[in-house]
Amino acid sequence: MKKIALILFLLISFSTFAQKYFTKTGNTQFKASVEAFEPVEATNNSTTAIININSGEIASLLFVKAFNFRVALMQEHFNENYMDSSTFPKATFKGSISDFNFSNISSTEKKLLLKGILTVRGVEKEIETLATFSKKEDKLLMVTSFGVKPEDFNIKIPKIVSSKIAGTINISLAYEFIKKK
Amino acid sequence: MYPETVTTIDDKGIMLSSKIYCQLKQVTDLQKINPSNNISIKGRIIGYDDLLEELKLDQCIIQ
Repeated sequence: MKKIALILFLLISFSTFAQKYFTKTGNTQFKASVEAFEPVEATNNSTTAIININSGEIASLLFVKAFNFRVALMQEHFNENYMDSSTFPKATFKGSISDFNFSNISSTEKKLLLKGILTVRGVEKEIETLATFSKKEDKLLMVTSFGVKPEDFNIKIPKIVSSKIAGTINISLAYEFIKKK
Repeated sequence: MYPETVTTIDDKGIMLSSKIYCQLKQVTDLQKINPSNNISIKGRIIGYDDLLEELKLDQCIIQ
């Protein structure tokens, strides 16, 4: 009886002891370029993301203002006209990875289903995509991409520029998680 | 100005008093940090990160 109690206790304490991996400098990129026009793309190198390796839950946050464009004027338009980054400074993602098992991830890439809610400009959208996981030394790497539409988040593109901005915006992520102490 | 203490240094930035994260514009600036010296840091506040509960700055330079 004592043994069973001890095993149970160990199991419970194992499952409640959440091990987390995180990054503060994740790379989030979006591309909305149309061929033959000026590239509409930007990179955010300060995305925060946390992953609970016991449950496979993931949460991430980025500041819209921290997206860097090659053209400064485009960055200004992005923040002021399209994203309203002073009213909605953050974009977040909360979700989970199906069948996430930390010990099964090795240096060879493994594709797993990532599902969750992306919130941009206060509007929520469900996202489902395949994400590639691998381990490099003591880091956990996650790479994925998915497409969204400006109208999903009530972003109105003026007619005059609509031909220069892609209908589907491709968002790609590359995060290097390290163990949270 | 109130002096803050550098609590952690990672490959891309430094943490001040365990609550302010400064992401550096150039990682080579990390070499300017010596245990005994005072540094002055300048950057852009991008917001409060409620996932990690810290204030985040980017494009920081160490003067």
